Order: sequence, then C-alpha cells, then structure tokens
Amino acid sequence: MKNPLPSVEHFLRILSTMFNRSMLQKTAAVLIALGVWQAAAMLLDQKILLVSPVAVLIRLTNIWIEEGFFASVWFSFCRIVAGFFLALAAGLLLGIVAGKFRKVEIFLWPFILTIKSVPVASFIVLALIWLSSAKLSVFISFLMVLPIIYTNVLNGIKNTDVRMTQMADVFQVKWNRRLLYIWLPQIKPFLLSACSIGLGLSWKAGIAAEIIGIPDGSIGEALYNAKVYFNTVDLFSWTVIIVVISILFEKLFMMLLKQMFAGWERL
Amino acid sequence: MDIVVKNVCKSFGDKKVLENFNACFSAGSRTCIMGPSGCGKTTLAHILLGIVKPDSGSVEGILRKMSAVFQEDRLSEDFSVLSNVRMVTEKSVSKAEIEACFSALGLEKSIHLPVRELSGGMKRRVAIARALLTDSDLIVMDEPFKGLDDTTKQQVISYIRQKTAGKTLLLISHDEEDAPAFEANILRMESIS
Repeated sequence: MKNPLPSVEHFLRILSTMFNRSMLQKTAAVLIALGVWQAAAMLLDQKILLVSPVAVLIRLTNIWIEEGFFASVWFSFCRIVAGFFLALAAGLLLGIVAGKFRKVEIFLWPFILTIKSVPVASFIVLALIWLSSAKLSVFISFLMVLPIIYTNVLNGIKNTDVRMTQMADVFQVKWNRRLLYIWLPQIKPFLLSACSIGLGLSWKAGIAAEIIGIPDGSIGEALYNAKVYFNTVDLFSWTVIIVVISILFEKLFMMLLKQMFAGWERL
Repeated sequence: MDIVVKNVCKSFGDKKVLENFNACFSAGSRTCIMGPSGCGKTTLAHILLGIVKPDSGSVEGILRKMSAVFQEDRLSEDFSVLSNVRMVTEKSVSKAEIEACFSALGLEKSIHLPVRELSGGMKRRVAIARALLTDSDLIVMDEPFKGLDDTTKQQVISYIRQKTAGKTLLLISHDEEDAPAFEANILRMESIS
C-alpha cells in the first residue's frame, strides 16, 4: 500500500530542487551556528556577556524605527563608500602608472609598504590629529583599501600578455585603446578580486575609525554608546546591520562592475 | 624604399638563430620566406617588425607603417571581431570598408561575435582582416593560412593579393604552392646547425 504521507527523503528532494546542494549545506551550517550561539547564551545566562540570537532578532525589528537610525546608517555609508571609491580611483591610476613605469613602482614602494604594515589603530589616532572625526572614516577606508587595489592592478598590468603588447606596438595602437582593449581585460580578474576584498575591509576599518573618533550621528557612535552602557543587544544588532549593509553593497557593486566589463566587451 | 638586412646575427641563449644574415626586400615586392622549422623565419619577421633587436648587424629602410599576421592570432578574446579590428584601425576606416573586408573573407556573420566563440580558422581570418584594414606599407604574414581549408585559402589569397597591391608583403610559409599563388619571390632560409 502506498504511503499517503510524503517521506523525509521526498521532502528533501523537493528542497534540493529549490536550492542547490551547496546552498543547502551553507544554510544548514548557518542554522547550526545560530543554534550553538543560542545554546551558549542560554547556558551562560548573562545578557551583558552574551545575548541570544533571538534577542538580537527582536531588537532588529524595532531598532530601525528609532530616531536617527537612518541618519546614522547614511552618515557612515556615505563616508565609508566615498573612501572606497577614492581608493579605487587612486589605486587604479597608480597601479597602471607603476605597472608601466618601474621608477614609479619603486618610488611608491615605501609608501605602500608602510600603509600595509602599520596597524590601522595607529593611523586612526594619527589621522584624528590631522582631520575632524567626521572625515576620519573616509580617510581610513581609503588608506586600507588603496594598497589592495594598487597591488592587484599592478600585478594585473605586470601579467599583461607581452604578445598583445608587441601587437599593439607593431600596429601603433594609441594608449587609450590599449587601456580599453588590452590592459583593462588583463586586470579584470585582479580588480574584481581586489574590490571584493577591499569592500569588506573598508567597512571594518571605517567603523573602527568611527568607534575611536566617535563622530556625531554615526554607526560608530551607536556602537560606542552600546559598549559604554553595556547594551550588548544593541552592540550585536548594530553589528548585524553593518554586516548586512556591507554584504548588500558588495553584491550590488560587484554585479554592476561585472556588467560594466561585460558591456565593454560587447562594444 | 627597399628594406635591406645586413649581417644580422641573433641568438637566444646558446642557440644561434641568425648568423650574418643578409637580404633585400624591394619596395612593393612580395616575398615568400621558406625554410625548415627553427631556421629563424619568425625571428627575422620579428626583427623587421621591431619586436626583437638583432645582436649585431642592421636593418635599413624600415617602414613606419606596418601591420602583421603573427604566428599566433594575438586577438583580444573577450572582445568582438569588430572591436579587435577597431582597436588598430584609424577612425577614417569606415564600417562599410570593414564589412566589405569581412564579407570577402567569409566573416560577415561573425562581425559582432566575441573572438573566443570563433573557430581557429575564423580567428586566423580576423587576424588577416586586421592586418589588411590597417594603413601600412609593410605587411608581414607568419603562416597566415594555418587552419584554413583549401577553398577558403584560395578565397583569402585572392583577397590578400588585391588588398596588398603596391605594398611590401613578406609571407612566411611552409607550402611550396604559396609563392606562385602570390607571384612572389622566394627567400629560402637554412638552419644553423
């Protein structure tokens, strides 16, 4: 006799057609991690030390209706993204020039090495002396992303197919066409990878700068206040908000960047 | 102006490729360079194109406007056939001229396709089209008919002859029939053992 109830296996098969195997595995991993977090919070039972994911979820449902929420998000978003775009433009330009002129690469080497090696906190404290706290996250995001974009673009230019360069020399191809048809396609994979890493880092560094600089009406200030008042649930909630905004912006930007390259190639 | 190659020597590491090589290519002539693999045909072509510098000797009368079909296609794979040609041609070359060239080479349906989607023979013809559409006085073609069937090859030869009239053409080939097909002089090179 046929079983009228669908089996677990049947249910899983339907699910697997909806999501691919990898996505299911990742979802399961996230659910397990949340379960571990919930269990740890319940065992510890100290809201100041560790809040539960349920408490964070509840807080997230009402944090956005509080006065100044969107203003804080907008304040930090604009500055961190501005820092990223400045680093992208400067890194592209410097990377291309350094890739073409060895002397420029040598000249820039100590600067890039310094930025890479010095701890971000040192830069933040130093920058606080030079800049207002409101501009701090722009500068710090810029500084942390610049070496990533620069190094990747430089590697891309150095890996340019010498045969294509020779072809361009023989045909006397102008520099703007070389940029469009030879250099940019060569640096594309390097640039995509650099942007993906750089976007995440810009948020980490930018928020760190805001927590130290405490500019009025920023996410950093909200996080700082949460720490001062031992409001751990707010601390976790703001962290979730930062992660979500960072991931969403990264996905959107990477999609646009890939579309831009695809449009270029269809020219 | 004639191109005169005088006592050119070229080695790659310990391997001598050209030793006191001499040749003269008259302005507007067609020359078919033949010889066994590794005898230095491509090296000579690269020296004439200015890609490789000779260790000693000189090349006189090098023309400023040059184009080439390299041994490899050297095309931007992600870009369309049209973009690959537009990359090197002057703005004065009209779309109609480009389309006429593609049509003559049997590429009219591939003009907007990315190069990576083309077959080996089609890529070869794109490289030929690129060389022919460029304003040049010297055209160097290194095994341009690789991967082409006989019918297509005859069609391409006829078009190359038409488009290169009055220009200096150097054709590197292993096919004995290519020189008569182009009514070209033959320059035979020998391997240096």
